[in-house]
Amino acid sequence: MIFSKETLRLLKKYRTMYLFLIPGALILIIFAYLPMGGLVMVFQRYDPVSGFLGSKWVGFENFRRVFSSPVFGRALRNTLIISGLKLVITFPMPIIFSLMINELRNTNFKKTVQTIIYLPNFVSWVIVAGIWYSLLSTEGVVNQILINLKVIKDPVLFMQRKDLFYGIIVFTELWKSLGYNTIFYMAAITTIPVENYEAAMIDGANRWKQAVYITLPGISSTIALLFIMQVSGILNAGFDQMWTMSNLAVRDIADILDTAVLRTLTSGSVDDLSIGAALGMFKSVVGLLLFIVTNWVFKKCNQESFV
Amino acid sequence: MRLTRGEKIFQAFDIAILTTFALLCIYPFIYVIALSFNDGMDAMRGGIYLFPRKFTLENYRRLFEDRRLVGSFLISVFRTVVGAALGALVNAMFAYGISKSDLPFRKFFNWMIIIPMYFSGGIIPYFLVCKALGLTNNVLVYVIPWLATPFYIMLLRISIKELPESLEESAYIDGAGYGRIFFKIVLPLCLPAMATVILLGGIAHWNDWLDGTIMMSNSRLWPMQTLLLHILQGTDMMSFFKERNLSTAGGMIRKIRITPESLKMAMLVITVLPIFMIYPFAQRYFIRGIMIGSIKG
Repeated sequence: MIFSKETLRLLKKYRTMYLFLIPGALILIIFAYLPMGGLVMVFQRYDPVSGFLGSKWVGFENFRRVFSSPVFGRALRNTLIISGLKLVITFPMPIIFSLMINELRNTNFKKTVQTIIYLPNFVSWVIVAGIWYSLLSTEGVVNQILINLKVIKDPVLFMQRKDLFYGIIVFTELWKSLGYNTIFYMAAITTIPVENYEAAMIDGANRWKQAVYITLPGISSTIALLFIMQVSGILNAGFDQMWTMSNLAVRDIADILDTAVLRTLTSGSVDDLSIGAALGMFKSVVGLLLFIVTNWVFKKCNQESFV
Repeated sequence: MRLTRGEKIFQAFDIAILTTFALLCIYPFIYVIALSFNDGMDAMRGGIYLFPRKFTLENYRRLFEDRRLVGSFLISVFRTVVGAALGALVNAMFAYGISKSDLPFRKFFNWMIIIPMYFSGGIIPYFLVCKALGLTNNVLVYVIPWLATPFYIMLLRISIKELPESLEESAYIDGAGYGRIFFKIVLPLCLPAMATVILLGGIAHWNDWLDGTIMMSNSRLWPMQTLLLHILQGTDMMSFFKERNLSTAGGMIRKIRITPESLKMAMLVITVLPIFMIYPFAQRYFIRGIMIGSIKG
């Protein structure tokens, strides 16, 4: 017998428990683990007729082709630029906003503001793209207002302009996610003990000093955590956003790793499948490594500065 | 508490900025709603800001005459309702299974949900697996792969672990099996967490456009979001108009009042409507789910 008596007793006691685990486990095995196994295709010239088992093995040929293709260089560069812009611009904003919301005195107003700014996060990028395409179209509100204010004479084709595209991407990202991201910081702020503020007030600290010396340090570990998560996701430049908001005019600067992978799938060319899978695998492996490294760094820092 | 002059100025500035951003968040929706109720030809002149200028229900009437659009709507409703409810049940069952700390092989099942949170085979092997199982061009692909979600399992497990151990143990001693305990005790006591998972799952289902894009070559099986995306990107406007009979001479009379733009706006509104309807009631559940997610991270 390989199991101890105790284990056997528990197995018997919990026998129905395993029935509960079966449906979820089956789904995960089929739709999460089988595709991981399917990644062997990156070492093959995948042929749908022969399948994973019968296709020809080509070693690292697919990776060589990925890394030497101009599409890869372009997609990697665009991914890093877009992610970098989002890191620099959209990361600090929720911190500033949560501090500002925290300063509001009127609870009803505070609740209303929060409720409204969370909303855009819950609609899909398809909707966001549709809405902003319409607002920025030639007869849309933005052009109308700019013309009425005499800032511009003729309507601007916002979505077709390469020089404006990254600005629009960062702006729509802020529009959609800023409110939602304040939730994390608002939650951290509520855990700061009220006594800290009372003590500071007795010492004569004004609201500004309280924000800088109590609130900000109080949420610093949340800031660090979210920063590290964002850094480790640097190869995620926003797949849904780029797929829904880009168009042919800006394809050169809008194509990111994820959209390049999906394009190999939707192009209908079977030859590209292994290449696309190799490209996707490059992204997940680098992403996982970044996650492990940044997580390790965070744990190190955490031990030194907080314990 | 008295405010200093500087603080008063700051307060005014603070309120102004936050109000501006809040208006910026809500205004685009109002604009799209106004356009969707406006005569299409008239809207092309621009200048509509808050209210429709020439009110009409024609855009919506045309959309609801379209069989394919109604079909897409039903597919979206189907996957949202069935997918979210069944998914919550499967996830809760799994969460209950791993909630017993002395369950043999518990570690194995734990790892089973942790690994997919950080690594996946990617979209192409996933597509090939679904294809091999005959799930392409099959609406079941909208429901089955979504039934187990590691994040929701974590969320439900936290809530199940909070239940007092003695409650279950006494029921067990009284002769209730774990099946009975799950359905009669655990599920009813975890209703808030179940509501959270159903809502988050429902939103994810309603908002998904990728499955339709990659799995369905038959556009009649697309959910609303996929159809909307194709129409917005102009790749599907031709067929849309052919069906609408607008490109023919006979359609010219009708075309006078409707434009591709006005139809797009009405479709945007229909697609976003369910979110707007449940949002006021469901908001606290969204927030709860997000908070638990942040604790995990």
